[in-house]
Amino acid sequence: MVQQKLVLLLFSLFLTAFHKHALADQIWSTKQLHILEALWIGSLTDLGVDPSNKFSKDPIAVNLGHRIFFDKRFSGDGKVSCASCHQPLRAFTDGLPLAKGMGQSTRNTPTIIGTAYSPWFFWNGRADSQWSQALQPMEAPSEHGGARTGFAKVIYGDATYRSLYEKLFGVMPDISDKNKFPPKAAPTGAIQTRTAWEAMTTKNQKKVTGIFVNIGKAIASYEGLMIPGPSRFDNYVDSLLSGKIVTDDQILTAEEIAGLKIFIGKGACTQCHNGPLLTNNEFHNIGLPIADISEDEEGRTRGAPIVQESEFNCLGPHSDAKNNDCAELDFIKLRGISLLGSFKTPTLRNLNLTAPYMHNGQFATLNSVLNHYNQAPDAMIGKSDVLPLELTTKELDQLRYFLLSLNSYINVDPRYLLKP
Amino acid sequence: MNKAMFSFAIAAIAIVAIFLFDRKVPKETAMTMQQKLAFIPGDLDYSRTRTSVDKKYIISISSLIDPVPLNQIHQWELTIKTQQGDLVDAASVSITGGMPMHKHGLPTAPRMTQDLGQGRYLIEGMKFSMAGWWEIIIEVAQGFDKDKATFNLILR
Repeated sequence: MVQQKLVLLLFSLFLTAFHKHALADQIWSTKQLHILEALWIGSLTDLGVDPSNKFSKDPIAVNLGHRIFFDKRFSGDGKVSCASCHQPLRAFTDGLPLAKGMGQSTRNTPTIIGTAYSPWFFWNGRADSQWSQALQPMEAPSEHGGARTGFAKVIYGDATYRSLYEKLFGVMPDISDKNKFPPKAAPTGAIQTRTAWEAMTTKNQKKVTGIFVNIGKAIASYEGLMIPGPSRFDNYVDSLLSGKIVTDDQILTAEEIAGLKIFIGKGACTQCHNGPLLTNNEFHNIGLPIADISEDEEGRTRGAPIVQESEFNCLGPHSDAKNNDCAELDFIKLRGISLLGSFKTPTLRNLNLTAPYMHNGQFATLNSVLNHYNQAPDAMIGKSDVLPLELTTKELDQLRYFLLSLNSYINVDPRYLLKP
Repeated sequence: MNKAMFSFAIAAIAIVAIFLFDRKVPKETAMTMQQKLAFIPGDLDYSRTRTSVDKKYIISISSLIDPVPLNQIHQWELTIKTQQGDLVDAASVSITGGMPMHKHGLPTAPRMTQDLGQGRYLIEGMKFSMAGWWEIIIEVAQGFDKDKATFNLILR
């Protein structure tokens, strides 16, 4: 009888010990906790008004931008809106390797969520604000394929748009004259479009470009709402930081926690995927496979001089910023081997919705992405900044499970995710 | 002592051992190649005041934001003296640097924007975009007296 009791006692002690083992495995060092806190969404500071867009927090600008974002009239064929590629239910991406607007784009559609925090836009960083980014696709033949006179006329001719616009930016100039303001004129795009633009007076060109810029600023005000909410990973860190003991499977599974350890340890992923948006918003060459060595693949080498020379940059005439608000542009790096073939580090939040991955949509699955990092081939252009991860198949799986724990809803009133 | 009591004692010791060892954070295994890029040598000198290579200047540097921020453009201030302790004014100053393990430079092109007088200079456009070991190289020239000093910095 005594022996039976002893066995029972022994058994329960073993159970307790192994349960504790599971807990102990989760004990993070102070240094690791510091890293986790830096990745936690709670570390994301509130963003003030964008110095280059004084309307960026204005509710009327948000309303106007929301409407324009979903309106297909802002395209050459009336079939493309911002939301055609930046689909809210796919975390503002389109599920395609390469974006498809009026034509076939050469780039994968990046998400908009959290980009208000980025100093650079597009994969090669050729724009330096959300508003100046928004302008380029609108006139790109393969995307919206429209022209700025046409966009200005949509605003001018629609009572709701015109009312909102004038509340924000003041009375619109009269652009109804078809001869002075042709329906499709812009300094870029097809030859007829450019010829029509060149036939306009400089004064009229300036009026139209002013309206075009304000459209960009309204769109940016809307896009600035798209900030990620907490993921399961954030809830896990939240609990750790508040001193709670978190057991396996309570918030993250044991496999996800193992993946997190690899992410901040063996994988050295946080060298670039750091901060609460899991990106340093900088440019890196990671030796991606490319179809051919073209100017398009030069990455930041090509993007940096474009943004420096753009009339729509932070220091340009259309920006609301003061000179000392534009440090990123003022101290931009224009030369260096590290720029060649380098593209912007993407966020790792919402990876379940943003496949395919990379600037050309090279990888259809997260498995392919991780296999790429595990092998880290030499770059086909420039020099790769990564070395093989040398992880086992099990570790790669754990890393993938962790990455998918970063899925998070958008911290915005759901009505902004639908067409107004 | 009977057999059962003996077994119980052994098992109890084993359980205590499990409790004790479990308290420790598991040790990291061998470094991967990628992890080596994040390697930080143990013997780095982190002093913010250094004598230049040819001993022409004593250069002090400090970030105007402490601790040095990750992914945020910010300013630093330099103070330059001669070995004799005289403040060096009207020098030309250039700033380079990078990550020695990654063999890439700084993500921005910082520069000296103001000679503040009294041997002090303002550096703008500093930014560190990756966690790990960075070097900041300050080159000072006053007439033909060129010299430089390298500072180490860890971003977490």
